[in-house]
Amino acid sequence: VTGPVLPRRALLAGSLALGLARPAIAQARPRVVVVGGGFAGAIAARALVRLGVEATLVDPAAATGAGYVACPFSNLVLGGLRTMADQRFGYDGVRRAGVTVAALAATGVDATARRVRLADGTDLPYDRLILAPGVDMNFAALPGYDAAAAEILPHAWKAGPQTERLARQLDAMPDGGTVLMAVPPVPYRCPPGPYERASLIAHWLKTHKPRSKLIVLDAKDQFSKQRLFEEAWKALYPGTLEWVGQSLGGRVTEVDVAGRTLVTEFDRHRGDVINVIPPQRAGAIAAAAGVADRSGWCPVEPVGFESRLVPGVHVIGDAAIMGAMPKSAFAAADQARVCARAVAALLAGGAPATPKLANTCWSVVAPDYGISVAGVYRPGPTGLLTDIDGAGGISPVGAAPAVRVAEAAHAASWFDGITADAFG
Amino acid sequence: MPPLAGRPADEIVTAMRAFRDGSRPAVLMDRIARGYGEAETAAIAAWIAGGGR
Repeated sequence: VTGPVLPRRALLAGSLALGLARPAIAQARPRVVVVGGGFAGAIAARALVRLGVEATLVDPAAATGAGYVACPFSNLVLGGLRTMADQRFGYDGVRRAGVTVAALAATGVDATARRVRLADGTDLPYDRLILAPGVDMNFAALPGYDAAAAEILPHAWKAGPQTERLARQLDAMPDGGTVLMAVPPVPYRCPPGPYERASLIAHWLKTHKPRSKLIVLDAKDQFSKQRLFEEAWKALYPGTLEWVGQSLGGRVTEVDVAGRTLVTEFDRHRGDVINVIPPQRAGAIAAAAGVADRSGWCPVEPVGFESRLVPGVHVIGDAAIMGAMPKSAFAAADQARVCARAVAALLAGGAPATPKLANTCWSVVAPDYGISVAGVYRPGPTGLLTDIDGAGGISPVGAAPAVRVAEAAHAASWFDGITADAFG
Repeated sequence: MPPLAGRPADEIVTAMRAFRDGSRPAVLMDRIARGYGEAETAAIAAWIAGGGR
């Protein structure tokens, strides 16, 4: 772990100025650049400012008032329970909090010179860099499914136009149609997200096109909150939602866009609407900065989330390899707060405190029906975040309806809280 | 969910203890509280009592 980096000029000026008034440059506050204005980046930048550190948040989404589109709760848009407008958050609150916002894409990182290159060719110098780039779809991982294919068969795994496209396709589908979903192997953003989406599409079909069917083709046999989802599906969506795990031939091996067909190991499935959630990797700036490994994700140490590959660069949120902690917005926000404190400590010449982190992932499977999985984490002996034994776990199976109602309300409260923390 | 910021520290410590040992019914907080010991709970409670920022 390296200490704070002061500009050479400042050290020189400081030493020459002994006994005199200190020159202004020696008093310059350390600068942190945060790339990526999602939950991790926005919350990290705001936490840094509260800790007295100058923070610049870099995200092209800040160029317009429409701003960031939140992924959590975007499945509720597909379920007809929310509108896209409810998912949009501008960056005015981030600016009001004292964060400098650069509304441009970051295109490169020079970790030796400690500069981030922006899309307009200018450079932002930093003392420490935090990358929070989220995920990119890995269009090389599933034969037949590239960026052009996603314009026809949406992934909707980044909320925005993709979500709207999928909602429009569901709306245009005749009653009695078949909806297909392809679910990737782990790791990917939001482990229970595909199953929440399946639940809410089934809810929408049941409400608006009751003769239709949803088939979920999954590359795995086990998934997050499985017993809770299966309990809900049995009660709410029999005959509407069918889940096919890997061992029953659920793994999609190829996408035939022109034929509107998903190819599995044993079969071909034709769909009227097809939602392909492809494998993912860290957002592109991670590879450009050299912080992503061959897996496509970013190894970090578990105390301040500094890259194991590039000193002075921290990676938080979905892009990072966080051990037992899942790729969720809740987790990203907690990592952001921990990382901001660690970065502030390092810049002040100190050492970061050993953190404890928490996560809760709620899934809404129907109106007034929520379920959750929680965990508490600490740095473990393997150098990754590890579960604290005895803590966390899923909502009770077979719980009373009042518990499901309460958890749906908790989910909504959490969404209001985290969006206020990030963008309010 | 009711906001916690500014609640008295002893109230938070008592609630967390009850969530941890299962004597207070919970939907989620029992699962979370079991991840923290007494010293950590006291630190959390002090932070919340101070406004939680």
